[in-house]
Amino acid sequence: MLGEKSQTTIVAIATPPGRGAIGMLRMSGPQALSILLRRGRTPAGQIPELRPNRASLLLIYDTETDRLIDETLVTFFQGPHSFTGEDVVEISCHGSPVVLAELLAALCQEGALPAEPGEFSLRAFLNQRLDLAQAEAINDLINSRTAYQARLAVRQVRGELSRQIRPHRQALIDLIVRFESAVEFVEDDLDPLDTGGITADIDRLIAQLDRLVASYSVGRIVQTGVKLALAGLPNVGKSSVFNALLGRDRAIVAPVPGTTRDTLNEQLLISGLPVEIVDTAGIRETSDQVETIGVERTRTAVADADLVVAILEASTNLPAAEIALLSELPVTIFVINKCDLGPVLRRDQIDLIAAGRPVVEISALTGHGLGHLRDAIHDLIIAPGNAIDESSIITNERHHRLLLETLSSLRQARADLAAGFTEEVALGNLHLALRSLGVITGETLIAEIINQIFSTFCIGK
Amino acid sequence: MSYFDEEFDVIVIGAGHAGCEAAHASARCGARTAVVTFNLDLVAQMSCNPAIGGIAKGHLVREIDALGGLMGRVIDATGIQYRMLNRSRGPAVQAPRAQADRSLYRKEMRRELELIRNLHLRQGEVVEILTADGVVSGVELMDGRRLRSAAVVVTTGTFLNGLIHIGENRYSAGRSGELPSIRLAENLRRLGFRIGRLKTGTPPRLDSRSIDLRQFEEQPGDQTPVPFSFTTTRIDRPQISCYIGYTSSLVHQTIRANISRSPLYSGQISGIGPRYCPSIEDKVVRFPDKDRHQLFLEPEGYETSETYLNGFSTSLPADLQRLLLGQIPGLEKAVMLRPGYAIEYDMVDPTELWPSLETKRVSGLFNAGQINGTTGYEEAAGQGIVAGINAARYVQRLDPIILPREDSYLGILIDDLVTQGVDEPYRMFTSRAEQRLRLRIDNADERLTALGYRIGLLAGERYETFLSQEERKNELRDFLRRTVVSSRSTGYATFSQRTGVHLTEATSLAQLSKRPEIGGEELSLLFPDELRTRCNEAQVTTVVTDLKYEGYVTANDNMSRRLAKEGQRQIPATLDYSLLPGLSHEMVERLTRVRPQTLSQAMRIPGITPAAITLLTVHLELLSRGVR
Repeated sequence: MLGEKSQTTIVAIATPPGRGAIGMLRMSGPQALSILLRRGRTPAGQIPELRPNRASLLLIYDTETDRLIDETLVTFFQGPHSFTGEDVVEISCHGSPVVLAELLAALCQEGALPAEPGEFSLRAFLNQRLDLAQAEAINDLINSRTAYQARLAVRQVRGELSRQIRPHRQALIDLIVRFESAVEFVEDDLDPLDTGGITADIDRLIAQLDRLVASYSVGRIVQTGVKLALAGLPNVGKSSVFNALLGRDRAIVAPVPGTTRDTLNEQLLISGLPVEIVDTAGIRETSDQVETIGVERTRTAVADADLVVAILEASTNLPAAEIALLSELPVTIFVINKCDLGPVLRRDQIDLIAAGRPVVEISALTGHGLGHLRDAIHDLIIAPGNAIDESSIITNERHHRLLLETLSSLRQARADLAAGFTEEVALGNLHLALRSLGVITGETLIAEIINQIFSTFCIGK
Repeated sequence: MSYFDEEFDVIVIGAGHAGCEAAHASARCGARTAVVTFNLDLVAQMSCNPAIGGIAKGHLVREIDALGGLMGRVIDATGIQYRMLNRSRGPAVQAPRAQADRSLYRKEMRRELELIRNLHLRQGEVVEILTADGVVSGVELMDGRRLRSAAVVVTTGTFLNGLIHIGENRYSAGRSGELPSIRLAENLRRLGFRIGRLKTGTPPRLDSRSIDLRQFEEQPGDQTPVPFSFTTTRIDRPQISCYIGYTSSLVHQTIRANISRSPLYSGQISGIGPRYCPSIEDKVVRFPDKDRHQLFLEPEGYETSETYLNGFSTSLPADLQRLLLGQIPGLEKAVMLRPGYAIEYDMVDPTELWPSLETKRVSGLFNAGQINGTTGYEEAAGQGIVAGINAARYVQRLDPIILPREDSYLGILIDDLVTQGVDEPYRMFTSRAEQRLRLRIDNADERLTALGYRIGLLAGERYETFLSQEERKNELRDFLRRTVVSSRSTGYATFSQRTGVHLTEATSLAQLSKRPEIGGEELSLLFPDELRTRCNEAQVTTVVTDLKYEGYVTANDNMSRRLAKEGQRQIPATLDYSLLPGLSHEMVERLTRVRPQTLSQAMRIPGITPAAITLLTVHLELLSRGVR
């Protein structure tokens, strides 16, 4: 690629694998248009004249057999006004994997190369259509599983993060300039440095960046989700709760203790947040070898989980030994299941076990209380009242780490000033902070940017 | 045809601050060297203010001295007022500044040059650099003499096409009262160099006997002058005071009313002046809210009543200058000996140079000093010494000496010039250093003296002294790391009283030296007598400062290493930037002009966007991975 403009034209199926109503192929490169025109005809059999940013109906043929592959809708984006900065055609066809595969093969026969993963984004990046933070966000957007993730990713694709960092970066530069002037121009008639004002400014900057960093605790959950384990004694209805939360019969449910012998993982959304839910084998002393392994796995799953939901049975009294078993678990929410069978468990007994942790009464059978359970889980993930300001959430681990580095340098500068060090020492750390901040948006060259690029775009060997 | 009157290895054109260092360095490095100047009586003339040093500039002088150059020794022999600046701050940003006796400085520099056996002074005007097939072969003088040499160092200062402005009057001159170099400027143009135009200026000179000093504030020198040179042990000459005064709002009114008479504002001057050394008319126009500007009365020497009015650089007409002086408190009756003036001169785009300061266009031709777009005696001298060294090494077919920017301000100066070019006169600042805490005046010898010795610039005797001092410092370092003190240690009472530090537990001296309130002087209170007598104050300062800054320097090093890892990557010399997808036309143009050798050089080209650098990096990575 070095030393020559990208000469190749790449093509890939843009829609996910499987059958759908519509499928799409995307082709980018200098020959995108000419390759398409070698296979496409208007409904009247003419060679089409594609105009930029307009959709046209196009019949695409297999030239060898002169057989129509599909009737497609083609949109042409002329470089540099396209996603990649090159000529791009997007071909919408019927969503059959067979049709898509045939169209892909036809275009490749005409000279298009199958795109490597991330190659469209790479070209967009190389043609300066995206900055690094935006390219990363596109990656996040493609991989987003929830509407929430997608919403945040879209904001960042539009350069939200860079925009947010900018005022902080400017504030830091202003600080540096004040210190530098004091150091360099001692002979000039400058106003003496207002040290109190400067430390206040550093504090303000630290507070602002702290807020941004704190948003990562939410951002990380939004991005990677939480793991929630359902645990409890055998036959309390864990698998029923699991199925009820999922909304389908995923786990085998039977009125026999020890039905669930292995852990079972599923993804679901709770109020827009991605949650991985784990059904586990009931915890009890057993001589059954398989069940013993299952109980061991339960303990591992519980240890790995961010949240542990303990399920109790409303209609049974708890033997003391089992209360002891439950108390070993790091439970976050108590669920009293089978409320439809009428209460036997006394409230004071429950409160004693729960010890201040949330308790939700439900019936997995009737669905009663499920909404409350979802709310309780949501509130534990994102503390109630702690409304998420979507415009300032850090979701990327790299950004989080760099912000922490920035903060640590700023704190060191602050501490040095407080300890009585003079400007040139504090300046060292202020410059370090500036560099860390710059790395986020790619303003500073650093080996890790390169690594990041190559892990984001997945090219080369 | 090829008759030559004389033959040398290296010829230096000009004997200003760059030329003197270049000639000295070249000769000391073993090249038979000639320095050709308009007027042998005006060697090392201080054309602007009679002072050497200051923040960052003092750093440069120390480095020149550590390499074996002249400037530090000459100012130490002729300084009349010494001040250490930034005393309230840490050692990294402290630097000496000294007023010089202008006339003594010239004489002392000439004496130093004449001490060198293979250095030859010649008076004359060089009108042509002789070349054959893009290689230097000598110079031709106005009087017809032809001097042969394999290398030529051009240090023309403000002489190249120099044009003086005083109000509406303008005339060609090199400095006030001296001839300009017109034909040499034409010659450089013919050789194909990209020429720019800069401007600088000086204030009027006054007769001190006509000044009412009672209206000025006395600024005495330091009690104990701190020398520039590592070889100077002490300075005993009498110190003369400077005086601080101010302009008045009346002065500002007069300037505003007559601004159209300033060639700066009438459009008569097109050259770009230094921002941080503005003329008084610039200050008044740019800062209309300030009701006074600071002025310094700087004596020009022991045996003259001429005084330099620093802070009042101007190109206003002479009659107006006299009027304005009369409106300054204390200068009502001041006699103006020489008017201030502005001077425009040609420079050669320094991106035409390799980091050795040799031009890319003509082999064996080196440029140094103001011709490269810098301002300041120290910046000029710093380039002079490097150009002189490399001109000698060019003749001797040795690899050039390239000073890394991590190790010296000299390295930063040259790296900035050859990679960034200049769009205004370039001055050194400590903030240009990525490693400011390490590039200090006290350790310039540690950074450069071994090199100076290796290349022959610095005498063996001085190197021996340096080595034994290094040994002392190493001992001291060991001692500080090894020795643990507590409230029961000898000297603790005085130490605690002086610093306000109370030790609650035993701690090592190395640990103690990291505290901001403890310097070398305080720490040595805890030294045994034997050690205190063996190590001098400077050695203690360096070792203690190293320890104090250790953590910061390491943190910065780590960050720099992270940044530099990719920065070291070589860019193929044959790379055609216009073929890189995504690079804008402007980026292609800038990169093609400078032809950076490494990525980090590319990063420092002004106007190069971070995005362009990332792109370039990605392409280099793709190249190394052999991706299509």
